[in-house]
Amino acid sequence: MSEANVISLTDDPFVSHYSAAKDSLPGADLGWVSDLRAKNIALYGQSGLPTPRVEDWKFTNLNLLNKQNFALSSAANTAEVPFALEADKTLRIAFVEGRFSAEQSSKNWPAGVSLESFAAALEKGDESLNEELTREHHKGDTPLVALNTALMTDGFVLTIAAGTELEETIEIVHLGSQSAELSWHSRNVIRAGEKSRATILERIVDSSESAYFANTATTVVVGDEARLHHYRVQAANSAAFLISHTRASVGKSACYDSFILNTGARLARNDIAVRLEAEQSSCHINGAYMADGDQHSDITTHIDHLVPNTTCDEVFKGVLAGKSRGVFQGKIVVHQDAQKTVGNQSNRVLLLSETAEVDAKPELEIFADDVICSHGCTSGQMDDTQLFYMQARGLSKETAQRLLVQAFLSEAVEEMQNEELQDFFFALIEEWLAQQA
Amino acid sequence: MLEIKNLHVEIDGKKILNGINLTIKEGEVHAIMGPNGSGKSTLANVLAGKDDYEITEGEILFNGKDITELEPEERAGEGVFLAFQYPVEIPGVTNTTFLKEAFNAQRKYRGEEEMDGLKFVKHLRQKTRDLGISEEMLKRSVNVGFSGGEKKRNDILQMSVLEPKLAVLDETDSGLDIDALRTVADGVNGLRKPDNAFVVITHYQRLLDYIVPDQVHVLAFGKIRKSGGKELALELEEKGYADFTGAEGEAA
Repeated sequence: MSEANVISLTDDPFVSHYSAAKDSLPGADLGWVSDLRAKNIALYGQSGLPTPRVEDWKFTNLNLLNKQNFALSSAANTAEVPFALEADKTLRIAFVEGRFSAEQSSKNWPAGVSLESFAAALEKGDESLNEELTREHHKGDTPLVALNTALMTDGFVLTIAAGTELEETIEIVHLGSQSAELSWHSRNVIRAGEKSRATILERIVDSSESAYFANTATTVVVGDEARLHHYRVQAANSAAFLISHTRASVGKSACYDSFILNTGARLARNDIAVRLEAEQSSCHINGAYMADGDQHSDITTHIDHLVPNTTCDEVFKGVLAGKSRGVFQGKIVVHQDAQKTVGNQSNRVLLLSETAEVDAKPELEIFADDVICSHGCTSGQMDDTQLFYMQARGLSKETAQRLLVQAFLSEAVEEMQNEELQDFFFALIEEWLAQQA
Repeated sequence: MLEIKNLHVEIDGKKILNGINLTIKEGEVHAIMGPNGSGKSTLANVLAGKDDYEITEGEILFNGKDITELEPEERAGEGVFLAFQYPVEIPGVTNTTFLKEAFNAQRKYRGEEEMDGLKFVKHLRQKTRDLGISEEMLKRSVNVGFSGGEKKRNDILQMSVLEPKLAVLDETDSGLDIDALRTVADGVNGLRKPDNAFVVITHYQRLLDYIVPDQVHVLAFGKIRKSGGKELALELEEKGYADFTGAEGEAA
C-alpha cells in the first residue's frame, strides 16, 4: 500500500474542479447552496480521498482512482439510454453522464408522484432540499459525500405523495461516460410519503468502455407506514469507478427494502446507511455481487436501531472469480433505548479461483440488553462432492458449477420483498454466468 | 458389457485395489461383498470416474471402450450410473431442474435430441408415480432435508429416469430400515432388463434377499478373493469375513 498523500486544498483535482466550476454549478446564486458547497469542499479538503489508513477504507484502496485524471462532466450528452422494463408498465427517468435527460424520461407522471431533476430543483431554490442535504446522516459522513455535496450537479428529486400506491415500477437508468475520463457527482432525493407504496429500479449501464468516476449520494426518506422497494443494478463497464452512498431514514411502521446486484465496474463501493428512527420500522438490505478479472466490489452497510421494536435483515451473497476482490463491511448499532431489536446479517462468498479474495468485517455494537442479533460471514470454494455428484449424473463440470452458483445467489434474490422483480434479477445472474463460460 | 482387467488403484500413493478382474454381461446382477476397508467403495468411485483416484495399471472396458480416461459426465453419457452411499445435498437446485439438466446432457452426449421441458416433466412424473414417490418431492432441492431412506429412493428415481446400462449401487442398504430397504429393492428389481446390468456393493447379505444376484464376489485387500453363486452370500452371512481378513500377507 502506498503512502497516503498529504493533500492540500490546491493540488487535489477535485478541489480544482470546485474552484473552476463553483460559479456555474446549479444554485450558485443562492446563498444557502453556495455556503453548503463551500463548507463541504472544506470538509473534503481536510482529508482528500480516504486512504487505507482510515478504518472504513482499510480494504478498498482509492489509489487507482487517484491515478486517473478525471475531468468534470460539463456538456449534456444525447446518447440513447437503454431501458430494460416494458414501457407501459414503468415510469422512466434517464441520465447520461450524470445529467438528466428530459427527452428520454417519462413526461406524464401519475397523480401523487412528482419528479424533478436535481439541477432544476436546486436552481429553483427549493429550500426544502436543504433539509435533505443536511440530515443527521451527513454529519461526519465520509469525505466522498462531502465532495458530492460540494460538486453535486444533477440527479433526481422524486416525491411520492402520502397515500399514493404506485403500480408502475420507476426505472431509472444511468448511462455512463461516452468519452474518456469524466467524473460527475449525482445527488438524488427520494421522499416516500406516509402510507405510500413504490418500487424503484436503478440501473447503471454503459455503451462504451470508457473509464469514468460516478460519485453518487442518495437521500431516502420513508414516511410512516410507507413501503419503498429500492433496487439497484450496477452493470457498468470494467473501467468505471462507482461510489454510491445511500442514506435512508425509516419512519414508524415503515419499510425500506433495498437490493443491490453488482456485476460491473473496475471498483464499486456501495455504502448504505439506514436509520430506523421510529417503532416498528424495518429494513431489508440485501444484495448479490459477482466479480471477475481485477474487479473490486465493496458493500458497506451501517444500520442504526435507534428506538425499540425495529427490525433489519441483511443477506449478501458474493461470487468472486479471477483476481477479483470482494469487501463486505456490515455494522449494526443497537442504541441504548432500542430494546426488542431484531438484526440479522449474513455475507456468504463463493470463491471460484485461488486468486480471488474477500475481506469481511461484521460489527455489532449493542447497547440495549433485550435484542436478537446475529451475523455470519463465510467464504469457501465450490464443493467437490456436489460437483462429482452432478457430474456422475451427466452434467458437465461447467453446467454443474453454473447451477451451483445460480442456486447460491438465488438465496439473496429470494429476499427481495417485491417478488415481481425477482425474475428480472435471476435473468441478470444467468446472463453474467453465461458470459463467464 | 463391463470388463475390468487387472485394475490397480492408488489414492495419495496408498494402494487400494491390487488387480481386480471382473466381467459382467448384459442382464446380470453381480454382488460385491467384503469387510470394511476392502476397497468396495473405491471400486464404485473409480467406475464412476471420481478424480481422487489414480489408476496405476489395468483397464476398464465398457461395451468394448476403455473408459478410464473419461470424465464422470462422459461415463454417465455412456450409461454408467453410481447410486451413492451418501447421496449429496444440493441446496437451491430442485430435483426437477437437476434431472432435466442431467437427462438432456446425457442425450446430448449420445447425439440424441434433447427433450423439451414439458415433455420431460410428464416423463418424470410417470417415473415418480411408478416408484410410489410423492410428486411434491420433485419441487424440493436435491436431497435437502431428506431422510436417509428418502435420499436413497431419490437416487433410485434418478436411476429410473436416466435408464443407465450399468448401475453401481454403493452400499445403498446402509442406514436403511427394512421398509426403506424393500422400497429401494423393488425399485431396482423393476428396472432390471435383459440389456442392462447391476453391481450391488454391500457389506451385508440382507439386501441380497431382495435383489437376487447372479454372482457374488468377495473383495478383500483390494482383490477379488472368491466368486460364486448367490449361495456364497449366505455362506458369508454365516461365517463372516474371517476367512478373508487373514489373507493380508497374500495381498501385501
